[in-house]
Amino acid sequence: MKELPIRVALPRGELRTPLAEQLAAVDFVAEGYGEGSRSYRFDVNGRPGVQVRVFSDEDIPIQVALGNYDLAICSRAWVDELLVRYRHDSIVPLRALDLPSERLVIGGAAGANLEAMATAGPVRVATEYPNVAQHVLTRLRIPNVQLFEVWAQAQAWPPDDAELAIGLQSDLEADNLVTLAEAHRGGVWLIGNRESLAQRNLEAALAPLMALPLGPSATGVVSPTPLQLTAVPSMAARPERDTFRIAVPDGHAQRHTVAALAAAGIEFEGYTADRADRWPQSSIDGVEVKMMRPQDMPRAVALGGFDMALTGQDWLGVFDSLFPSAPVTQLCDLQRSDYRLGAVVSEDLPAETIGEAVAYWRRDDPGRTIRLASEYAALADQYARDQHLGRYRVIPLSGASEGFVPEDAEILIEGTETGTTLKANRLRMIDVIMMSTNCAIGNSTRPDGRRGELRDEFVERLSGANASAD
Amino acid sequence: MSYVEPVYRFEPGDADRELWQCGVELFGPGAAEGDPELLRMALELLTALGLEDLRVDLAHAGLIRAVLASAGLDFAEQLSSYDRMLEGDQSLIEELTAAQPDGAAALRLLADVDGDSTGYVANLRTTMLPVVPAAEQALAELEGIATALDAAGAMYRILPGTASNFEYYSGVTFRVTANGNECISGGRYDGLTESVGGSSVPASGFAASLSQLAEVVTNGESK
Repeated sequence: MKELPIRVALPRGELRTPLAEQLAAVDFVAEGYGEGSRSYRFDVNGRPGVQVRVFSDEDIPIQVALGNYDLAICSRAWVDELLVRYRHDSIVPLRALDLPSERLVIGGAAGANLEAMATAGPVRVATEYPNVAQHVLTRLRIPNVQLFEVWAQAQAWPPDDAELAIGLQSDLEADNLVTLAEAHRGGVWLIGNRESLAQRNLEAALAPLMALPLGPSATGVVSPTPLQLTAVPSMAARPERDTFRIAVPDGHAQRHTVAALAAAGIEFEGYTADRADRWPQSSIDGVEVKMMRPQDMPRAVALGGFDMALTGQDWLGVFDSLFPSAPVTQLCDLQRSDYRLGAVVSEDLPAETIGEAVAYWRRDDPGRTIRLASEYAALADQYARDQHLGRYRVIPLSGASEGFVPEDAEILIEGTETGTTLKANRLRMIDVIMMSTNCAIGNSTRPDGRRGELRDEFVERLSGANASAD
Repeated sequence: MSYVEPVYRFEPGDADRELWQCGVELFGPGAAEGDPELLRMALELLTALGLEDLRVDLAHAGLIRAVLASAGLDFAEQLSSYDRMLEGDQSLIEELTAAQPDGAAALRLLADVDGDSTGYVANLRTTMLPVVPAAEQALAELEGIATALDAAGAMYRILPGTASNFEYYSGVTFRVTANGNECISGGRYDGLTESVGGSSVPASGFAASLSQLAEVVTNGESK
């Protein structure tokens, strides 16, 4: 029987360059990895049984836990994000490495005080690390916490949409938040899959990786001293706001949104095609604008923080699949940034429909597990059930998704605007789940008073101006 | 040498303190030759009794001892640390890792991962020998017995952090179960003859409680 290769997952991003230098020093050279090649897979010089695959740092622990990879190097914070909740996970942390890393901290606005917050009422916390956050906040003994799991930029939420953010210290400081407590000491680690370590001789990869320079072992989640609260926590509700709040996106959606606003005769100072301040200014009285990630807007609207948000229908659909009864609805379609979201398969697959594809994959093994990889894990799960895929597994991703099919997943649930990236990676969309354009969303219930009037006015102007767009 | 003899043990309450035990003692052969022979005999015995689903759990007292010694612990500290390890005290691993950061991977593999292949022993070797060179002999012995069990087609697990009677045993220890019921346990105790005034002779053996064995056999027949 042919021996399976030893599969090693390595991170892309900022760790790539220093790690590649260290790997070269221990004779573990994956040509192209250090140079930032667009490839996702590499052979290792002189080690024929070893294969390297590049992932986003945060996707690596789940790949190792699933048993798709035997060994990996990644940030300890993402490892602990899994381990702190699933104590018996399949990940074995093996060695702290001497690579640049940053700690996670709890941050708030200047002058914020944890004791005062904990007694003032519910403490809203935004983070990309909900399990680490839950662990630390529970040990701090903050009595009333509302945890918001965001896709990115947790630092954008305080002070108006959350009291605290938990994230990388440099990210929080860049948004002028101050560190109130430490949540995780950081670190980069060599990790292994428990089953692989128990069953397979991994020496060809393990020996050189164990020779990498040792890093500080004092990494991992911190267990802070509980707060000593001297007053009874208030259960008072947050006061009703009177400003009309609108969220605008950064990233790929920014230029489409700026164009849609401009067509409606709306301008926000500090929000243009090439500039996005955190708090752009509106000349309309009573209107407050904030820039945030479009992925997190449906949640922010559902929580009552915004009266309107300009996001994508895909993100509304993803949120709806997670929280079907959440009070968020589309107010109008901006009809820009045409986007298809669907099931993507290998270009070489001899099938024209998802049904034919499943039949092909299971032609020799009717019980074969169909793997769906996606940034939109809830949507992928819903799609698998809707299509009656039978035995399937959803692999959550945060990026580098194009390299997954066909080796690491049969199906990718992915969005595309032009299809160029899919084609470049020898992929094609076999089934469209939804057509998506940019849209304005709001609470299912129209607010009263001035806020309701402003919402009507924005919807009317955006709808009218964009009905004939493109 | 083999025996069937009564043994006397302290038991709380009204439980029998006189137990009938059968066993085998093998004096002379070292680990490379003696350990596989002893385990083969144990498996043949249980197979001859008609027992099924035989599984061997392996450990090695010398491995844990070498790791604890390399962390700078004296013998008394090794004993108390080993007790904590058996109780699953995770803080012990943190303490030992802090004392010897280079040994973290070996400790994790020893304490947290149950192996079931010679590959596992190879992984132990890769992570352990650069930090704990004194573990070389123990690893070779463990590998030898795993290879012999592979050749015999026997099912086994390697649980290096669970060697019973840390003070008594010096090498590979094992227990054999049939349908999940413990039938036989034993191991290597090379220091035994010397400790009772004799000359130094390699020694190993296994034993079974006759009443326990009879119960397992009877239960197996009644199914």
